[in-house]
Amino acid sequence: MSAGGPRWARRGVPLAHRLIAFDRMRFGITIAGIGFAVVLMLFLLALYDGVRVESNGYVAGRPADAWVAQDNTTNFIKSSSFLRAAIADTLRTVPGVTEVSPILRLITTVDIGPRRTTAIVLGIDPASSLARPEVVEGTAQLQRGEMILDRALAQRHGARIGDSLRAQGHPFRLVGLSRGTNAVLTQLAFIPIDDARELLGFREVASFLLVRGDSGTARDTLVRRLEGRVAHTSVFAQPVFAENNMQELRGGLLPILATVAVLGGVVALSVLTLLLYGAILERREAYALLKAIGAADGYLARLILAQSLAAVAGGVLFGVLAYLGAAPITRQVVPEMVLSLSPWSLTGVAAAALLLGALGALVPLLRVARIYPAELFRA
Amino acid sequence: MSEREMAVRLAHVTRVFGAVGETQVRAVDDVTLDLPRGGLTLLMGASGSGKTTLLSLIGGLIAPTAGSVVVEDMSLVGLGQPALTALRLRRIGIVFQAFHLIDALSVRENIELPMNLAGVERPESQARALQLAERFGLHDRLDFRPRALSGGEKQRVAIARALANDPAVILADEPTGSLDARAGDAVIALLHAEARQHRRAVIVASHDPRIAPFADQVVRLAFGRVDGIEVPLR
Repeated sequence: MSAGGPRWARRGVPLAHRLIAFDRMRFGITIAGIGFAVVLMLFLLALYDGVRVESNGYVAGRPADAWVAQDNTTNFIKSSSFLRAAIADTLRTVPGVTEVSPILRLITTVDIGPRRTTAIVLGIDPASSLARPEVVEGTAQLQRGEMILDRALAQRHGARIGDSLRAQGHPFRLVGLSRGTNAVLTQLAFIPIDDARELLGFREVASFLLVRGDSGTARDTLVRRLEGRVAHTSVFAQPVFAENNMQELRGGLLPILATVAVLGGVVALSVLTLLLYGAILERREAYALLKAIGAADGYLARLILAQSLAAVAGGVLFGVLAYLGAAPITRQVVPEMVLSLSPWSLTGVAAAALLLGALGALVPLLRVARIYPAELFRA
Repeated sequence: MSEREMAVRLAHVTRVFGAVGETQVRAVDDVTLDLPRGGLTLLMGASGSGKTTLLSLIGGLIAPTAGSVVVEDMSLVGLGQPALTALRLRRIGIVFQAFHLIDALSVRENIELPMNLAGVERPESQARALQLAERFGLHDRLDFRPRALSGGEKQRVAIARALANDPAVILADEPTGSLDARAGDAVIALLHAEARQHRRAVIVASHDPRIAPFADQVVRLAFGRVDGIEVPLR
């Protein structure tokens, strides 16, 4: 730094800053317009991340090495899988297998007080930790006639530990609240597998079998040993099954969210371009003057870009603050809405916004290129 | 006058606007003129006589249809926009009837702007802006916004801005057109002094006859042509 101060301060009149500050109302409207589009993008990306993590959380979080399902069943979310319960006994005889735990999946009504909702009810073996969800309140140890409920579903309907519920008309007592069990469009509930079989009306049935191997057996080896052991079954390594599930999510709700997020970006770009364009038309004389007194094209480009990026930076700041303020309220009002904004998504929105700033400056730049300084002589 | 004293030389300059046919206008028609340093040249004529077009041609704001324009020994014909822009920045100052000050900037910043565009950094540009403001009686208005100034003050700021990069040529389009008589006289006196004291070529386009006594030569234009050149008696 020289005696004249920092270089940025010595460069010259901060024209971009002055032009922005001169019309605060317009700048405020621009920031708000971009900011609301950023909020929309952040919400959608947070929902995207939330769905990605939370909807797949239960499957991805199982401490199992392999999933066994009915043949041609590839995932947990969009499938119907029925297995004979006795298959579990066959699999226990496979070398390296230490534990096999059945899951019976039902989609049925759950009555919470006077309100009825539909949930995915999983019948699990209370004695096994393989299928047990992560419980954040109450207990994970289920007894007959007890239920663990997804915490978002419980919050939505005001259910508390100890409350009496009904699943498919049968009474249950709520003993635990779980997380990682919110599939957004529906939520998971857990009951003992014997209760689930009674609800279904079939005794010797399961939907999936979770298999754990001993520490000396590699996962792939275990999967190979399980494959073909029982006819009409498919065996998946745990990460493969979780990824299959994620693929189903990507092919369903996630593209819709991504599309709407892109539309939010288009809205932001339109707002930015429109307001910058209007600002330049309003200041047409100033740009003509700059050209007349010898401002190079590069200077004008930087001037417009600086205004655009300042508006975008303000809009992103506005959007992030608005998101941080609104997200907790949204979670209270709509508990099923899983918002989980990753640092990558936040960085992505900021980078996309900067790109929008550069793109948003293009049309105004073309407009400035068509302003002729000689027109000042007529005014 | 010797050739070396000429700041601007126009040779058979023609500028045509519009397409061929009835809508075509010969705004400047075969004009040949030498405009000296150290003097104020007044371009006089009725509206539509070609005064403003001639200023635009000298300033490189538009290109001639035919003929040559030489400013400070540099032919403008064939020069690209970047070169013309650089020429205006460093060698030509322009004063407009409507002032065209940037209302978002203070008086000091308006004067500084051409210097900053030319690469002069701030402490230096601020000091020169102060000098110019003092020369034109604006030192107590440096932090004012243009809207707070009178018409005469605005035009003095515009002249200070035009002089910021110490140009050889000043182009002034109806500089008294928006001013009352007293302020107009003061502005013309300033421009005349700049021509004389700093050996600039000051070229004023106006139909205001009150300016003629300040001019070193009066070029009368009619229908885009030179209708006569007079040297006023003092």
